[in-house]
Amino acid sequence: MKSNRGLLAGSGAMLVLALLEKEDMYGYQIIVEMGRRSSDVFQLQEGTLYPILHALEKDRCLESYRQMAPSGRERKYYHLTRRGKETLDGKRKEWESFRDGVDQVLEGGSNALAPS
Amino acid sequence: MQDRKETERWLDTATRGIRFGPDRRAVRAELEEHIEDRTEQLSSWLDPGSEELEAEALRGMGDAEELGRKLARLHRPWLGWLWYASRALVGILLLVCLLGVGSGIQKWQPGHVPGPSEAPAEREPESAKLGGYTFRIVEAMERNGTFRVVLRVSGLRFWEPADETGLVAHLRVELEDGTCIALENPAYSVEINRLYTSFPDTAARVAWGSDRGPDSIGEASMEIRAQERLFCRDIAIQLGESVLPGTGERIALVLDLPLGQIRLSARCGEEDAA
Repeated sequence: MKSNRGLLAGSGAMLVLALLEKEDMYGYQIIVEMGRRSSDVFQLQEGTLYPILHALEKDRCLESYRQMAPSGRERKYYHLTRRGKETLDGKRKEWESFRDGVDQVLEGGSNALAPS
Repeated sequence: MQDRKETERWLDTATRGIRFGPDRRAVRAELEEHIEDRTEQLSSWLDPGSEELEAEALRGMGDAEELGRKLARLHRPWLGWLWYASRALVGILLLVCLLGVGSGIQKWQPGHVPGPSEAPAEREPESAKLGGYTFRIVEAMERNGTFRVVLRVSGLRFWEPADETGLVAHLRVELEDGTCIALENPAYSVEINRLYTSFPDTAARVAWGSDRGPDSIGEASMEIRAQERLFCRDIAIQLGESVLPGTGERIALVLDLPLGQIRLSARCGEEDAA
């Protein structure tokens, strides 16, 4: 099942930062890992990953370097900076607040109509 | 992939909005590498080199026009040129610093120190630096039968003026014939008024010639006064008749300090060399 693009809007940067928290990756590797970890819930149009990566690099949340990949070809790897880690932590808190709010609305819907 | 026309067209569309050349080439290379990886994965179930494979690879990359607009907004040309200019500026500054440091080290070396019996082959420096201070002879004149030489010690650290009492204790005057005039006993009394510091016990001190060794051979008159000025101290040394240098004769001021030796020279009778 592919996710609704509306739900994914704005969370692309957080997902990318979270993936790079564990290890440095290059673009195609990020796409594959994102699909694997989300059980294919998140499947980005692959080209749209690059504006996200480049914007994060411009904001100094990521830094890049070129290195030989396991495939034997040189690829551009991305590394999470300390600033990127702080940004990720901030976005995680925002997401948790958002998720808790949604959960409360979803769970509390019937209770709200129940007689007190 | 035998014919990559569609791939080349897709890449051209996605990157043509990036006007800064180096950025455009780098982004194009990165997208091309991604397409290469995606194509390799797809070739496990699609016919390698087929148009269908290429089409499927590009389909997964998304709309090239939309991607191109996003990339163009991110990669502004003036940022790229600014980055190149800053790199060039850093390189130039580094070169200037390297050249400047080289010349700076030379300036900070104290003046040439010849041996006691060695006549200077060339004129000795009239200023030298040591410990953050600059030492310079500003006067070397005969007046009314006495010879007066003034040593100026200056530094920007006005809160740490040169200690004239310490300097005087390490000071000696050398004449061309090898005669040295120095304080016999560094323990001297100091008179201080608001204009200058004087060292009255420096009158009638030891002098010796180069052929007679360090034992006292006589007495000489040496009066020393130190005057405080802004950012500097002037130490005026006045020699009496018995050791008066001749007009035009070279004299040397030597300071044997813990940090090193300062040796400055001037010609008797000259105006201020500055």
